Amino acid sequence: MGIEIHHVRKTFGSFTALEDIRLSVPSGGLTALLGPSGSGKTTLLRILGGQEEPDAGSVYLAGRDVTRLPAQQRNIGFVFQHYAAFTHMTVAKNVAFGLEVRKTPKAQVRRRVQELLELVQLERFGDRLPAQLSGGQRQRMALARALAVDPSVLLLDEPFGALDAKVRKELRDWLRQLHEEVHVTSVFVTHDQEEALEVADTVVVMNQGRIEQVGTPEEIYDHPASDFVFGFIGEVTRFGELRLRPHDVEVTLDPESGSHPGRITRLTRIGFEVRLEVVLDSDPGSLGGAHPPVNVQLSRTESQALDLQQWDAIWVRPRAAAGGREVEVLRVGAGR
Amino acid sequence: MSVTRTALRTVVIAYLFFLVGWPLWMVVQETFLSGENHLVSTLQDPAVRSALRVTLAAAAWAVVLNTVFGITLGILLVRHDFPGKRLLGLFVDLPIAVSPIVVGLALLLAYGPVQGWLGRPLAELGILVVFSFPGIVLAVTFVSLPLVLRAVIPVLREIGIEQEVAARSLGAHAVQILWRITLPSIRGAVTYGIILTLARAVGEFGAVLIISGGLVGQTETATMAVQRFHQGFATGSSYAIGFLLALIGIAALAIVTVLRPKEHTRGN
Repeated sequence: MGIEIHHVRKTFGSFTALEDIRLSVPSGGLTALLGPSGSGKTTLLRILGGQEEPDAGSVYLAGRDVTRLPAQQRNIGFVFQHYAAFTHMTVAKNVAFGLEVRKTPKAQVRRRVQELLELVQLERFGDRLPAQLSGGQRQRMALARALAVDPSVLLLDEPFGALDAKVRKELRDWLRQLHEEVHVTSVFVTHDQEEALEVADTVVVMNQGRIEQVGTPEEIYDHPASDFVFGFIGEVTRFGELRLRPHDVEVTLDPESGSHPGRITRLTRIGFEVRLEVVLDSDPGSLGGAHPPVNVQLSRTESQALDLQQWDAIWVRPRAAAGGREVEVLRVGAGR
Repeated sequence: MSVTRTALRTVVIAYLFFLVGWPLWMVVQETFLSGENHLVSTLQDPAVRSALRVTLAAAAWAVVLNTVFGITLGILLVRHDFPGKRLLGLFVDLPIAVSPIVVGLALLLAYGPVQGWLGRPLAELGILVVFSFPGIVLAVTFVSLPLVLRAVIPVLREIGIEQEVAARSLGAHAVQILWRITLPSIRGAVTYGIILTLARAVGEFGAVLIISGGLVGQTETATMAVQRFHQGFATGSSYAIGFLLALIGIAALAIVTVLRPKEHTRGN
């Protein structure tokens, strides 16, 4: 059950959008399709939604082969980045749309719309027009509209992409909660790794039309399957032959085993976080070429304990439990 | 700055006054203030009433035909790709680019009962296009052809397909999408196009003059009646009908102004 994708391929002219995609999404889960633009994540979602047809392969939704089924017969809910609100209809009419085109009895429609508006906390806004709502409210309306038809799958295309940072955060938490209440199999597309890690219970990382890794947010973050995933899922810095997270670099004032001397060339404080740029006195590894500055991420408390200032001479080393990766020599070589 | 603006404004107002306002006012004056009320006396003439009926009926036909045509072709041109699309887009603008009298001649050639290659078979079937009501409908529909289409196209482009895709994903089929989503969203533009079509069709003269034959009380339209009275020195009547035609045009413009989205002025 859930969603099964078998060997799906899709090209646009000479551009390969998807290459032999195999994926199985568990029923009732909240899955993120994560990747940079051009990775094929939106194409895959559109294929699930019936807005795009695959060149090869097949798609099963809730056990039913829907590969050649038009969108209106798939029983899916689709939420668009820019809401796609029906601008000439009231909020209640928007939510009722899916039920009305199915010729649901009026009383039933009214009851269901009321229920959904309560679920998305818009019960007082039923008579307004979409233009009179804020972005966050509009997207909640779009969600209610998609859920109205009891879809077997809910698909969301960059659902928070058009919202400002604060509303975005609120809506993420809210979607997470909503999903716990409704439990409909949901897939959302995002290019924001933080969003994927925070909201989803399964993350599918995509790159250049392929799936790089499928796993829980922890698995993806702690055990990235490829260099690409490691680099895409969080910030990366280089220390000799090692690539690691900036928060996995330890800073000391005195030499420790495995540590290397350097100088703080830049110190930026962003709220609770302190970022350092450290130029090493010499290359700790043997890759050759100029060693780029090491980026370090500390908490304000750690930074204050060491009393760090710009131009201080310090020692850095990878933390003991750091989940770093060996630098792919070839790639570094080719980059120079 | 403000001196230039005042000068500019004066020039524009004077231009409009001498070109449009004053002459139109003269028509009003001649109709009502030259000794007798010509409007009332003119409307008692059955030939005038017939001319007005013919004009309005033909305009109504033009509105219906061009609305259906405009919406259909608009959706086709904006939402679909097909070979020759650009050419078709150019072609539909031809009717307002060509002089109406040429349109009349062309229609006469095509639909004339003697030499018209479509007119002759139709005449043999007993359908007379030229010198009858269908010809008038044909002429006014022709000259107002692209007005609904041109009003609808930019709005269709602007609303995009997102709402339609959303409606489809919610289970709506093509007809439901058209009635519930597409048509309501272009309603304003369609009304705008209809008003323009109506104004254009009511005021048409050249094309109709050639193709209708101008039989008084039968195929004479309001604009032709104006011409007939004017040439027959019954100027009072021609001013009265002229006043009615102008009134329809002004009413149309007023409605259009209310409907048209507010134009943003730059600066203060």
